[in-house]
Amino acid sequence: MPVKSSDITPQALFMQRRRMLGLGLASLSLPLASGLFADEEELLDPDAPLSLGGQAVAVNKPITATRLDIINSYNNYYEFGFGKEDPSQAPKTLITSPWSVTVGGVGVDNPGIYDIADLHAEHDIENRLYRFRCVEAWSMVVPWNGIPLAAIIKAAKPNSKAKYVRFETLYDDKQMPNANWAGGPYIEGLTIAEAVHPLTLMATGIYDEPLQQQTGAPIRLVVPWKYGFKYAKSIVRIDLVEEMPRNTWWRQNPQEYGFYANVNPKFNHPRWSQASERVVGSFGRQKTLIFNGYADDVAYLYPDLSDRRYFY
Amino acid sequence: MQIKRLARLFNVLLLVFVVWQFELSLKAPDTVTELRDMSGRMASYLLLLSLLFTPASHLWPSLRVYVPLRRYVGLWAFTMALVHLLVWVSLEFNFDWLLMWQETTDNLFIWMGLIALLLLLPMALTSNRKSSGRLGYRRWQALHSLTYVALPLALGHYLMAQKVATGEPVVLLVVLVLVMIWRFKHAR
Repeated sequence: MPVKSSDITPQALFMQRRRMLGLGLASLSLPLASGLFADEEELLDPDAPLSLGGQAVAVNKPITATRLDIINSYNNYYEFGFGKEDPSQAPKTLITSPWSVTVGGVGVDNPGIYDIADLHAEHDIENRLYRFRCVEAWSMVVPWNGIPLAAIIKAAKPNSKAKYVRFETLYDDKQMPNANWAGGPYIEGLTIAEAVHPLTLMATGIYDEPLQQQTGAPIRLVVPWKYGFKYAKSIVRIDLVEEMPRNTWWRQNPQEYGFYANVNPKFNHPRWSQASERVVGSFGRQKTLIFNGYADDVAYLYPDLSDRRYFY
Repeated sequence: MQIKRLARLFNVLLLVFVVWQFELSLKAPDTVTELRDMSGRMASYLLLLSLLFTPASHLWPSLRVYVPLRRYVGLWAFTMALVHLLVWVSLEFNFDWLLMWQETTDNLFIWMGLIALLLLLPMALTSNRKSSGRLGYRRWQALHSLTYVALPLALGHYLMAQKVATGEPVVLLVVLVLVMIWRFKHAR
């Protein structure tokens, strides 16, 4: 559905264009994303339909970025408490500077330890306005700033043993009051193909402001076609490995959560429907789209769309 | 204090509490979710409170005089459950009946909540003294023991709607089980 410019806050519009421009640059090196980009003409016309990447333009509601104060106060980050507002109200105990991310594992030939400042210096920060869909059937639209994970992986020189990527969150009960809720550090994982996909981002900011403690400062994973629990926060290690990593929610409750966790309105959670979602900060619900609206870009990664393994 | 005045005080206090909770919900990042969850939680607490009158007045007979307050606790529980449903229908689903139906058929926990609310309805309608006279005390009492069906359903609904079980519904459930064990053993 075409989006009228009047439906969109100036800030959102600004961010959207920023993102598309960012992606336009990315496309030079990443041809996979060819379906993603609006042409320049469209960017200059304020009344032109805003394309968001893949199918997202077919959403029944305008894509409006969620307000920053809502993004920063409605969070799932169990290491800082189980309630939605606990993480933002928790004391600021997370030390995010200095912070380094170790990139290693059997799948890389050039392992390294990178300070956040080095990552910022070495890579372009891109702006991406992405839909965010939580497995709990709520959603937001987040204007992320970050580095495509592909760029970080490329710098580590992956070899043929790199089948999966394993992400590890900081595990420190001095900095996180509830660090031990899952009995160890929060672990997430992607296949190598998912990890180098141009949509996959290592975010360091939202709305051009650094990530907050509650949103996963200083660096977190963003995989817009998957449920939010895949977006590991406050990452200290990225390992390229041969075996499928056993991610935290899969380990916690294997009946309800698995490895892939791609958004699909047709495959319900065992206890609730995934057909629609509450858009946080607004009234009503909207229909959930397969792959969260990014099917055109990512569906090729999953040969059998009737395979339930891909969708929980 | 006279029981009527006490009832009035209770109603005023609860009204103030509900208004304060609404006020808090408006400030929450997601008002709709907050209103929905707050009203549902309040209904659960009040229903459980209504079940404590009998065991409490058996353990401390002097509390017996307060039993008439139970009616208001029950009516408030019903009201908050109704608010819970109305928030869901209006603010969450925007009266999209088709979508509501699709969600409901896929969600066992929504059925549980709806049935719990339906069971509260006849109790709310017969909460006055006249009804208990008309029905006869035994039948009236049997009808009102539906709370022992409605509350487990409501708490199951609460537990199942969460990603991980938090302490709150579990504590409510434990208290409910204790009350039910007590009722089974003692005064019928």
